[in-house]
Formats: sequence, structure tokens, C-alpha cells
Amino acid sequence: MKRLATLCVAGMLLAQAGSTVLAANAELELKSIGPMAFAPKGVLLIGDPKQAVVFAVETGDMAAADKMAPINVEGLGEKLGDMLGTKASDILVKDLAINPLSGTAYLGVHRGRGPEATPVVLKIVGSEITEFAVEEAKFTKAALTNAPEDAGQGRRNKRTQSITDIAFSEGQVIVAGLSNEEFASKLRVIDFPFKSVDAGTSVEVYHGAHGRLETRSPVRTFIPFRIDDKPHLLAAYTCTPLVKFPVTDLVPGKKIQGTTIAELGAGNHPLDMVTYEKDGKNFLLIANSRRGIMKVDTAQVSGQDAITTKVARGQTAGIKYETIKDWKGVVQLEQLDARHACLIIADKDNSHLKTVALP
Amino acid sequence: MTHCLAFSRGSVAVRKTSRAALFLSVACAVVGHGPALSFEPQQIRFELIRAKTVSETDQVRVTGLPPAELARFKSLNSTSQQQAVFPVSVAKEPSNGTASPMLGSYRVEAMAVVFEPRFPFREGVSYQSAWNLQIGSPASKKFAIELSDQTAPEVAQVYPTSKTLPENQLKFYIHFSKAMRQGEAYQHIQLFEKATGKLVKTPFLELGEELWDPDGRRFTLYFDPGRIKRGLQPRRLFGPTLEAGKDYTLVVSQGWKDASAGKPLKQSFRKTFRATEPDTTVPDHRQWKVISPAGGTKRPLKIEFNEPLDHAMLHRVIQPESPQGELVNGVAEVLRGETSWVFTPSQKWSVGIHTLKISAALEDRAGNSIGRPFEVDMIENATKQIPDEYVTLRFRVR
Repeated sequence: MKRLATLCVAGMLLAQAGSTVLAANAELELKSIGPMAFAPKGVLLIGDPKQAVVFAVETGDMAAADKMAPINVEGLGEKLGDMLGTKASDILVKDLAINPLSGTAYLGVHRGRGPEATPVVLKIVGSEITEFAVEEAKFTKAALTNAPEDAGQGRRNKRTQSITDIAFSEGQVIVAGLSNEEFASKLRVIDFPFKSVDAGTSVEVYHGAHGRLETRSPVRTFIPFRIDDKPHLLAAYTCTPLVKFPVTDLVPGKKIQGTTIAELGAGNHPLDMVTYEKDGKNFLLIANSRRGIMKVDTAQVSGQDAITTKVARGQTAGIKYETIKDWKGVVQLEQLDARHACLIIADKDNSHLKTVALP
Repeated sequence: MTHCLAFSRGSVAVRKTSRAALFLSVACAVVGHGPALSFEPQQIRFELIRAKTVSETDQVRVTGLPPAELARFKSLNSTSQQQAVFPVSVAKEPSNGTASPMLGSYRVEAMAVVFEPRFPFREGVSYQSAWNLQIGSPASKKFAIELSDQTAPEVAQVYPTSKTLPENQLKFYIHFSKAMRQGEAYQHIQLFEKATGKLVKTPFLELGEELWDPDGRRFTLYFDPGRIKRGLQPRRLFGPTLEAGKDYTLVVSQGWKDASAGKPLKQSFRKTFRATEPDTTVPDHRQWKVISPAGGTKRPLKIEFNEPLDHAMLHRVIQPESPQGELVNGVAEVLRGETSWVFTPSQKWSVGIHTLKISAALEDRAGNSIGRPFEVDMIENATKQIPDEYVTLRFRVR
């Protein structure tokens, strides 16, 4: 009997995205911090899920460093609590982004754990933490969603659109998100720099299995990656497969088919991904909620055929990887320079920011 | 030739609502023999003023300082030097060391030094302010910001409410009486097989960005779609999370605290349900029973569904329109185990044919929307037309 093969289909339904506004003299008001990433020229992209907005903030941090200074903060959680005048347990680290020009780390945190939490951006050089005053910075912004559907007068709309990841790739800002109500995926592509009125594109991503079963499945995290010198996204779906698809396919009206290159397994939820080169080879690191850090030789990614057959029980589907055993409790992973990564490692009562050599 | 000042260490509670300035008198005992003091130490006061409006800022004011200390403070030219003299920090247990000073700014007024924290003092946190005299022991005082609401949170409801759920159930909505602490949801939620008491491993989708409503009182918990979707490794290795015929208990642990007061749940929450056969069909609005209200009244419009639908979306995605195509405002309730939708208009119904505009995104419990099933068989459904953004139903008001 012919066995049905599983395949992942990434279908894209393009719709009008929100407008983008240049804010010349306005004061930047963050309401929340989600994922962050760097665009060129020291521009920090900050996802604000509460407002469904991406801010592009000029940090002015453009002095190129020849050699990145290591960033190490022992007892980060306690220090943040002290600085921000609250208990360490009231601080939630939302994301870490490192300016590739200067090697300065930017940390997005929430002071408070509830809906009233105050978003704060901190700058870390070496082990010194200072506040980065976003409200004083020049910025532009892009609104991510069409206004949530009107529930009518007197009817409270509780729908929100989270931002699960954000990245800059080839002149575009790509944003992944997930609604707290319907199970539909939104991958949004916005030209950068943000224009005065920019519609962007909203992409609904599908995920297929075994050649015939197709599901809408949100992308939770992704990383831009060049394959055969063409920009691609390596993306992890909420339903665990790791896929690749060309960025050039993210155009209105086109349904694209992503290629599954690996299945990460049950409960293995990728938190962050980093790509780097070492000894003439390219590697991908995946910080994973249950498998620790997975290191993948990306030659496999380029050459990997789509997974089209079932994998025997207990085996890992697709690409081979090794686990970096020394890195435990990693909750944030960012590349510092060609040879180093910064990690935030959480232990029982505290967290620590460390610079380590890339494996 | 030193003199030493030792100050009382009592702690003072401050209510957020208290507008009155708090005066922390500093009791002084002179130890040893030195030159006559050029000021009266009893006059040193730490005064805590809480902001009353958003345009104001919390403050700690120190007054009664000797002119020499004021002059010294004025001469300081960096915040770190100012923090060294007049640190305000989170108070910690001695075993946890001393906290670094909190961010803020200082200014010297005629007879006072004022500290304005960068962020407001938080309820439930104790703070320590001190003045490190150039000569002598530091003066310090602890104050606690009292909680304005100390009630314990509770799980108010979990949707779907039914005691039977399809084995491909996609999500739960957990409603709380108060906003809960975010960033730790998955630590507090577990699923057990009822018959064996065994913990179900990795049943849920754990997202870094937890899915909350704007009030922080409703948490959306997805089952791991990798174990619902057929043909994927998680399901092959571990099977579907829920299996038809088995009973399960969803447990929300008591240890989950609310966001503001840090109080744990009044009690843990349990919801027991039986898994039934999977639901793979899309909601069919043509099967719904619409019960029209009488014209000229504010009686409710009722819809009875042929299956339970998504509780959250039902509050948002069905919209009545008048015969003239205008939005009818009103309040919607979702009743009878999410099988009934009752809409009470704010104005009287006009007579004529109304339209119900229903978003094709409306889902059933398994994530099948009117527009498409959770999982589409692309071979069997290759020719099926996916509906537009909305579908409509008409009803006549007489």
C-alpha cells in the first residue's frame, strides 16, 4: 500500500496591512515589548504587541567596533530589580538584541508582570547597565494589523495579536504573530525604511503534512538565511517542523510552499536561532525549550530535501544535530560577533548574561 | 573627633491612596564626644510623597539637613555620587545583601534634597532610603508601600464549559478574577489522565509570548498542534494528547499569583472532561436556528448552534445589520455551553429583513472555522470553494 507522505505547505494569503507612520517630533510611547532585532545603522526594531506596532528606533549607536567587548552580567535579574526599584521576580526579560555594529546589548524588559507592566529598554556595555531612553529617540513605526474586528458598541473586544518574532532581511522587516483567539498565522513583510504610508503585506502561513493535509499554522520563530545566495527564512512552526522558504516568494497573491527540513519533536519549542560560520562551515544554533541548544551544520539545510516520508519511532526527522551540553537553562540567545554569542541563563532564583564562544 | 548618629529602624507603611506626606522623623542619639553639632538631628526628616496624578512623580524629600551637607550634595556632579550620599533602594533581607540604588534623579531645593524615582514605587515592595553623612553613621529608614487590594485571585471559568471535548480540542480560555502574573503560565497548568492519575507530557503549546487579553485576566492555552495534526512526529511519537473515551483533568495550580498583589489563587482549579471522537467538520451556519425578536421591542435575538463554538470569538464575530445595512449595537451573551448566542440591542428592533454578518474565521472547539477545517485534505477538498471573509444569514423582524 502506498504510504501517504507528509509535507509542509506554506500557503500565503496576502492582505492589506496597517499603515506606517513617520513620527517626526512625536514622543515614542511603548506600551509593551515583544521581540526586538537590529536593522542597519543602529536602528533597533521593537515589537510592541499591545499596540500591534513595530517601532524602528534610532539608537545613535553607530560606532563600529573592530572587536566586540564581552558582555557579562552576573545576577542580571537581581540587578534589574534593584535598578528599576522592584523585586527581581517582578521583572520579565522580554528579549535581547545586540547591535551588530557596536556590539552593545539592548535588553527589553517589563517592570511588572501584569497588564500594567512598564516596558523599559536597557543598554548593556561590558557589565554596565544603563537605561536607553526610547522616548527621546527618533523613530518611525509600522502598524501591524488592521484594527481588530469591531465587536460593536457595548461589546468588548478581547482579541490581541501577539508578536512571536521579528527580523530584518534584505531591506524588509518580517514579523510573525499569533492571535489569542483564532488559530491563523500572520507573517508580515514591511519594506524598510518604513515609508510615510506603507501597506506592507500580511501573509497567512499554512503547514501541510504528508502531501495532502494542510493546516494554518503560525510561525513562532525564524531567522533570515542565505541559501544558494538567495535570501530565505528558516522558520519554526508552532506545530514543530522547521521549514525554509525564499523571501522573494513573499509577494501579494502568491501561495508558496515551504520545505520541511526537520521535525523538532513534541514539546520542542524553539526560542531563538543564530547562524554563524566557523572553520569554513555554516552552522545554525537553535535554543530549544526542551532539547537545550541544537547545533546544525547548515550544509544540510541547503541540500536537505523535503521530508516526504515518515520517520521511524524514536528517530529524529530531517537534519542531524548535536546538543551543546554545556549550555543549560538558556532563555535568550544572540550572536555577539563572528565567534561569540550572548546567552541569558536562568537558574532558580536569578538570571545571568554571559558571553561564550560559539561552539 | 567624630560623632555618630544612630537612627531608629522602624518601618512605616504607606498606602498608595495616602496623599498626606509621610514624615519619617529621625531619632538621633549622639554617641561619643565631638564638636557641637551645627544642626539639630531631630529635624532631619525623610518625607515620602506619592504621586496623585500621572503627571506627578513619586518623591522622597530629605529636609532638616545641616547646611554643610546641603552644600556638599550641591557640589556633587554625577548621579552615582548623589546615589552614594542619598541612596534609595529596594529593601532586602540582610541575608540577600544590599540592593543597588534605584534609578532616579536628584535635585536640591532651598532646604531639601529631593529624589524622584525613574519609575513609581510599587505596591507590595519595601524601600530603604538613607543619608550618608560625611561624618558619622548613616541615617536610614525603611518604608513599605502597602497593597491596595489584597484579595486572592480565582479561576472564574474555563471555556469550553462542556464536560465532553473532541480529542482534537484546540484550546482553552482560562478566565481569572484578577490579572495574573505573566511569563510563568505554563509552570502552573497541567493535564492528568483521570483513570491513572498520570501526568500528560507536553500537552500544550508553550509560547514565549503568552497569549493574554488586554486586561490580563483571560489566558489562551493552545494544545500542542503538533499532536493534533496528523502525520507529524510529535503525534507519531507520543500519540494525540487526548484520546477519545478517556477522562482528563486540567489543573491550574494554587501557586499562580496575581500580578499586582502577588497573592496565590484562593484554591487550585480542576476541570474534568471526557475526550470524544475528533471533530473534523467545519461549523455550518446554515444549520443554525435563528429566533427573531419582535419589531419595536428590545427583545433578544437568539441563535442556536448545532455544536459548541469558540466562546471568545462569539463575542466578536457575529454582527447584526439593519435592513438599511447599519450596524445594530447591543450586548451579546454566549450561553448553554457555547451553543447559544443571545443578542440584546441597545435600540428597539426595526421591522424588516436584517442580516447577520458572520466572520468566516469563527471556529468550533477543534479550530475548524467556517472558512476551512483545522486540517484540510487537499486531495478530497481540492475543488471545494473557500468562502469569503464573511458569510451571512438573514432574519425577518415582524
